[in-house]
Amino acid sequence: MKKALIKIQDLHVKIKDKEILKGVNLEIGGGEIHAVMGPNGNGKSTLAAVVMGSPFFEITKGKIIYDGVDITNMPIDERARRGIFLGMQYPSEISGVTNMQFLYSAYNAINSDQKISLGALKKNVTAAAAALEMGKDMPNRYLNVGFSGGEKKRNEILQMLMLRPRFVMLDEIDSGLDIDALQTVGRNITDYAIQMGENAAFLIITHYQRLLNYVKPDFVHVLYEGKIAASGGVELSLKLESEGYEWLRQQSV
Amino acid sequence: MVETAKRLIYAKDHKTIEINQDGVYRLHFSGVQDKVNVVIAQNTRAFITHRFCPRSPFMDIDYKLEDGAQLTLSAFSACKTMRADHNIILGANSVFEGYYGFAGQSVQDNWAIDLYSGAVAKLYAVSFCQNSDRHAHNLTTRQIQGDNKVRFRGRGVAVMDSMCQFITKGVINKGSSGAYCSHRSKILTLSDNAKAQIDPSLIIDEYDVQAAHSGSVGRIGKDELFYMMSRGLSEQEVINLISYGFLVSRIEGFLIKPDRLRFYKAIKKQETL
Repeated sequence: MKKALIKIQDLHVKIKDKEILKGVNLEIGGGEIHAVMGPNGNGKSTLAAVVMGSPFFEITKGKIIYDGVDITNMPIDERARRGIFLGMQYPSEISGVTNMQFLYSAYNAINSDQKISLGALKKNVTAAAAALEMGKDMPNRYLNVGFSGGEKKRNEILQMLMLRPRFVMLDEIDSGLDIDALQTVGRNITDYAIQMGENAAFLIITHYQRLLNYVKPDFVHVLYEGKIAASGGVELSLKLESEGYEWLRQQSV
Repeated sequence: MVETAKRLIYAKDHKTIEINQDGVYRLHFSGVQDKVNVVIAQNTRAFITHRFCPRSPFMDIDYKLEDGAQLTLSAFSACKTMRADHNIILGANSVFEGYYGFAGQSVQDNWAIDLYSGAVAKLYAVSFCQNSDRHAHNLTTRQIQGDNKVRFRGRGVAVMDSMCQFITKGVINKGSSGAYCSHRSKILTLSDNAKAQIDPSLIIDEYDVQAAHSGSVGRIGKDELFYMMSRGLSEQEVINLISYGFLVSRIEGFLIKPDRLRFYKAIKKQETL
């Protein structure tokens, strides 16, 4: 195990009176890619949202340590400025705010000591958008408004590439992508991971092995009934792909 | 983007201004109570920007577009107190487009637009209200003859203890068959104490017409806030960006550069909610 960039310790989370995470422990080292799989409704998205600081959940117990700092109660924007990024399953649509305006504001908020001009950022955005095979009009379109499912997911990856976070969480980034788009997105994530080396870590939430064919994980975890029920290497995701979650249920019984 | 005004006209120097040449004009209001009549001659195209002096809290302006004339009007006012009465008469087949932005403390913005056969009126009025600002927009459109079109879009953002109001009335007279009327207003309230009122009405006295009105008042959703903050923007920056998108982006293409910048600054300078 490399030096942990993020440590999640005995994390318990509830929404209203329902406990969703019931003691999650996870450490992710710099340069590592971790995949989290598991049946629907078992807390995968909640885990990512809570690490990002979502106000919809209440942490009842446990800690989140990022880069040696306890971020359990840190505001969302400060987490982002420290390098945490969540590529969302359902990105919001913001009418009236263009992609470019949003990226420009976000980039300069995160890099307040090294602000960039609109022209320079636009150049970078155009190049990254081309690598993601996005339409040329993308910078001028309103943020996610009228985007297809696949376009929204590419846009999340584009934001990741521009903001250059150190801890990247991608929540079902493969949903809504066709086979070619999946390959393109997977390639861009892998390229970014290689570029960042040990300076970045990844937590990829997915239901399917197919994304993991393009983004090779170092570790695979199964989140079941609010806990990490199994951990392993790529062989675990292959087992899930072929056998489903029944064995976990039986194990649980 | 709009051209620079080629002709500067002081409203206080005129009772009536006749425009019979295509061009870009700037109408400057600098008196305490300026009242002026502007006539756009037949088939003339004019782009007019209004410029307000803080000493000019009241203006009363009548526009008459003769048949086939075209007028595009744009303005931004951040005057502390402003009352603007616009009475617009659109002759046959004339076209009027208005783009108006406000960010003052007390705004009373009144529009009365009469349309004759084949005329088209499009009006965008946007308001940014903060502190204890009070902005009231009143619009009455009267479609006197047929085959004409009205499209009104009102947008407001209210923060802190401010209040934003849109009261619109669409009247379609008998004999106006083929008329089309659409009045829509939206207000975003960004704090618990901000108030919004939208009161749309339609009075229709003809069968063969299309008319619709709508009003909506809402807040920034928590999902949107979370999404934007997760990219490093503070809550205040998110509110600024959304206010800008909700208001300025609707009319900025028609505002002259200084007005655009002043509007943007007015939104950006608010510190806390």
